[in-house]
Amino acid sequence: MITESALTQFLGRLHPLVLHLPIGLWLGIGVLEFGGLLCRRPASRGTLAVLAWIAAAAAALAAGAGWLLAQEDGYGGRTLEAHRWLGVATAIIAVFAAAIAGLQRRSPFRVLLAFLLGTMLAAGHLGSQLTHGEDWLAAPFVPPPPAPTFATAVQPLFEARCSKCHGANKQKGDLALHTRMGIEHGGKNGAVLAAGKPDDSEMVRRILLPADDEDHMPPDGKPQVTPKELGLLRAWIAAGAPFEGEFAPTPPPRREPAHRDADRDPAPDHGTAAGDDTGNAGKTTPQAAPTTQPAVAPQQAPQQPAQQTGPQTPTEQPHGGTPAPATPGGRGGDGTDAPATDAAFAAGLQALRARLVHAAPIAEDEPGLWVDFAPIAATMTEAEARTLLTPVAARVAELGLARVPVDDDLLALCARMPMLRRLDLRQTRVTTRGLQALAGHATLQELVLAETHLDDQAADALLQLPALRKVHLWNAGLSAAALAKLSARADLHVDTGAAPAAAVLEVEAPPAGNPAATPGAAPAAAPAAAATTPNAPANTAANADALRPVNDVCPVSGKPVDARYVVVHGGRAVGFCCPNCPKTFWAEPAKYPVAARTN
Amino acid sequence: MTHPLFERALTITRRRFFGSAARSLGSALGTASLLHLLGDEQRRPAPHFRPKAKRLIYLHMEGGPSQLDLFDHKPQLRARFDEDLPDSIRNGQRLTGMTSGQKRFPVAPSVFRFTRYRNNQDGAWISELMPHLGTVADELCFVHSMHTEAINHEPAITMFQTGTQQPGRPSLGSWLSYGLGSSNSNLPTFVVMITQGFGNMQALSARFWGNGFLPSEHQGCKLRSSGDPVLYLRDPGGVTTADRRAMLDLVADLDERERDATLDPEIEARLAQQEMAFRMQMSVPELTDLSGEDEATLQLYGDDARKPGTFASSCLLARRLAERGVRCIQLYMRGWDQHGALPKEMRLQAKAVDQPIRALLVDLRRRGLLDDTLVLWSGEFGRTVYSQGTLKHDDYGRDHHPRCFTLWLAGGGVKPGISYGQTDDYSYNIVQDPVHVHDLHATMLHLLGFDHERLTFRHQGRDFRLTDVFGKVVRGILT
Repeated sequence: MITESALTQFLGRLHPLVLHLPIGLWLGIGVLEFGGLLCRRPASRGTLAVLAWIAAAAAALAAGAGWLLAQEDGYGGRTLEAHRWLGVATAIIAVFAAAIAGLQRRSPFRVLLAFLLGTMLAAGHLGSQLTHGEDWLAAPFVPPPPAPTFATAVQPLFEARCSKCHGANKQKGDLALHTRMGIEHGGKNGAVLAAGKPDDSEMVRRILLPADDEDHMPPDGKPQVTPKELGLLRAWIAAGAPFEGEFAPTPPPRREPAHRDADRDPAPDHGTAAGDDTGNAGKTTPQAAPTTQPAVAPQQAPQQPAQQTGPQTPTEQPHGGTPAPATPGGRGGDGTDAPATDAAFAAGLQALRARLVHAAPIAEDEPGLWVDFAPIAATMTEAEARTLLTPVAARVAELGLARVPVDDDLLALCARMPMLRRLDLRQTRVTTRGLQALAGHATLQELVLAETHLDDQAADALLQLPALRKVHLWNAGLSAAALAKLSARADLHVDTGAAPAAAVLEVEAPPAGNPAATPGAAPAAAPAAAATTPNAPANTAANADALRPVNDVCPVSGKPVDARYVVVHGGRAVGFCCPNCPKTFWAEPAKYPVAARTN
Repeated sequence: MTHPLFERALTITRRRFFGSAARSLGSALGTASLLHLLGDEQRRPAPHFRPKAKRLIYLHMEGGPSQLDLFDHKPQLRARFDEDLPDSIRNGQRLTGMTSGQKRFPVAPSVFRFTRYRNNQDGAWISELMPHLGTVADELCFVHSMHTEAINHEPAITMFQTGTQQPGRPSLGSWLSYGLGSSNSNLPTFVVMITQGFGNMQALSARFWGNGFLPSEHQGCKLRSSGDPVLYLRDPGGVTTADRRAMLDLVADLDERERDATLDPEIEARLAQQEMAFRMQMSVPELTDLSGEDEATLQLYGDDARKPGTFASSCLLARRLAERGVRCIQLYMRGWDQHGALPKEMRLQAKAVDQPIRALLVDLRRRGLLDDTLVLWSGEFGRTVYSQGTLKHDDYGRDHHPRCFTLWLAGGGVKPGISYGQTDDYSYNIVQDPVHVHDLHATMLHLLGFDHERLTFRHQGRDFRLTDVFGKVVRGILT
């Protein structure tokens, strides 16, 4: 809903828009009229009259809008009053001028016009002062202020604020601030300024203390240091407290003094990503800023001026993430390890990776490592494996040594790995003796010993592992008795690797006889099977070995069946003599009746 | 050389620096953008918490295998052969252009017979197409209630690989590589192999294993199926390894100067890749050399194991890659898009994958790798219960069906031998425990040690993640 006050505000705000019209028009009229005077050819009166009336109306509108605008908050003062009345005057004179613009006698009009232009100029100038401030036009021509030096900026400060008690006549606390040596030397409590570190300087600290603090300087009741002076002082200290030469007048952003940081936790956040682009900047210790600024300096050059304006938070602090190696293919897993300071461990990890062994924490939140020699098992030797594993042995949780030619000596090392949970020794040269070295390991849960050369005593050695839950012993050289002995232990799962057989519970009955298929189509299996075998196929399929062929001669060639070439057809396993006959059979199964064994 | 902290923090391109600087104003110009940059690279070189699985093997059956003919057993459909699909079931589901012209939507029960294998619940129904898989049914966790929105292959595979239907985002393997820190190794962190199929095949784009906006060292490396697994690894004639090394050192020196000058992170990625390629000269031949494998293991995978390019060969290589420290291995098998001739084509497809997958699981288990490997078998959507094209007793096709489909997981941290979720009698809608692709991603990342909401990367001013803004971990399938 448009309220009345909203409407007046709106109309008032049209003032800066509307005022350009009368200005332009009256200037134009002035050019026409006085140009005509010079050239002795007066401009057309009728035209001028029309223009003048339009211009007068515009002036009235502008003045009216300006009046409304002046009612808004924030407008006041002498400049406004002067501008207001000059503006009104301009509008009134404009109306009179328009009234006599069409007359034969030109001089009254010209006089009024001259007055009008004068007041308009004045009003306009004052108006622009209101919007842009004084000295706006001239500002570009004003030379920049000279950069301060110690002599021009800091010394007068000391002179005015400090010298009464810390000067030529008195040196309270043994501090003299009227000589260079005195400033640099400090007083009986130590140095008062730390070059380059304004917020660590005692001088600045004392100035910033609360006024009622007894250490606050200058003391209560004496003339105080103004903020501008403090800024200059800090800028001077930040520049290194130079006694000669100029220094940059803008002070660095303020931060907490150094000695207080000892109580604070210095570590920035570890690692992960993004979302807190803006948040963390203010929160991490600002101490990080000076140390890392050199590192980010190359990219930061355009940023420096922005940083130094006012109390901006230093936003270019790098994320507190852990530095990851930049080498191609290098892994960043190092940083998440807790004992990153353990140089030998880190070096060991690097050595493993350089040798293309997979070595990484199992998960982000786990300290244990998974070390897997699988990628380069073919080119690894036992000695090298031992050298590589020794520095990291304390943290290995899962170790893959499959196909590496390790023998029992390495198992002695494995026995000393406190976190080891899973050990893959498939196709290695370990023997029972090595397993005995592992006896009593408290954490080893899974052991893969497939394709090794063990003997039956290995079963006893394995039973000595209290935490063992799973063991793989395919082709490990253990006899059935030994395997049975192991399987007897209740919580131990033994995988013998035997080829599984089908455990059939039920076979679906064949579909009921269907109407004859159209000739030429691939015939259904069922009718053929039903015709040749009186036995229910369920019998043969119920065999433990469901793939034993039901026939002895190949239906295509008549040659004896080779049990390797078996195809399931119509619910039965049909054998063939060679790999080519099945293709022929599939093309036309009805052509090759299967002579099943009738037993 | 610049200060290491600074160097890591300011790995940005000029364009990004000026781009972000332009967004700031006035005197805060450099500082705001500097902070923005320092928080930018949210590299996490380790999982968030202890992972159950250290590596992922993802078997993607491209085309959308029919759940009705493999794992979703609906015997009651046999009685409904050639009946029209009730509207109450279809509920106005949009059709693809391929079936929208059909007058009828006749129900097509599966011609294959299912067997119930023992598992840790009341048995897993698996059709006769995958008898080998039946032998390891007690390792598998079936999720019958998967659903997605995409109805066509390109957006659906993009959704499965990158978490959204629009291209441009990093793939699952790239996120893993980024999260684990692409480790200094001699094989890429993320490897992809593709096998051609027998049925209707759809295109596979390289961006399915691309790095999107992540640094390019996280992209998947595809091994070719014939000839050299990786092109240009071998030194050309007349060039010795020493020559190659000297050349790489010089190029690295020049690249490092450029990197110091422009702080472009792609240069670091390039340096890493060049070093990786040099190391792969030795590691890839060692990987593909099967002479060390014993015969019994090769028999486990079948005869195809020695033929490069077959699924069996890829599975064997996948196990070898897992042994050698590769963290994300993706196998794509094409040709599961059975719009027609389903019985014939699926027999061929299933036969090609059945034995190798079982062999892979058994092989991983034997070597002690299965417990910390997450294995996922999945298509990008399922198939319809109604037939596409003429329905015959022994022949039919099925159209795409995103509303419910089946996949299975095995290994690290997954509850073995269970079935999770249920579909209705027509395998058309989900009636219990729906799992969206985002939920699957969240769960997979959870098993690999990541909180899917915290594994993010800032790009274009937004913290992207694999699961976008969706995804909840499915606790029901975790141990």
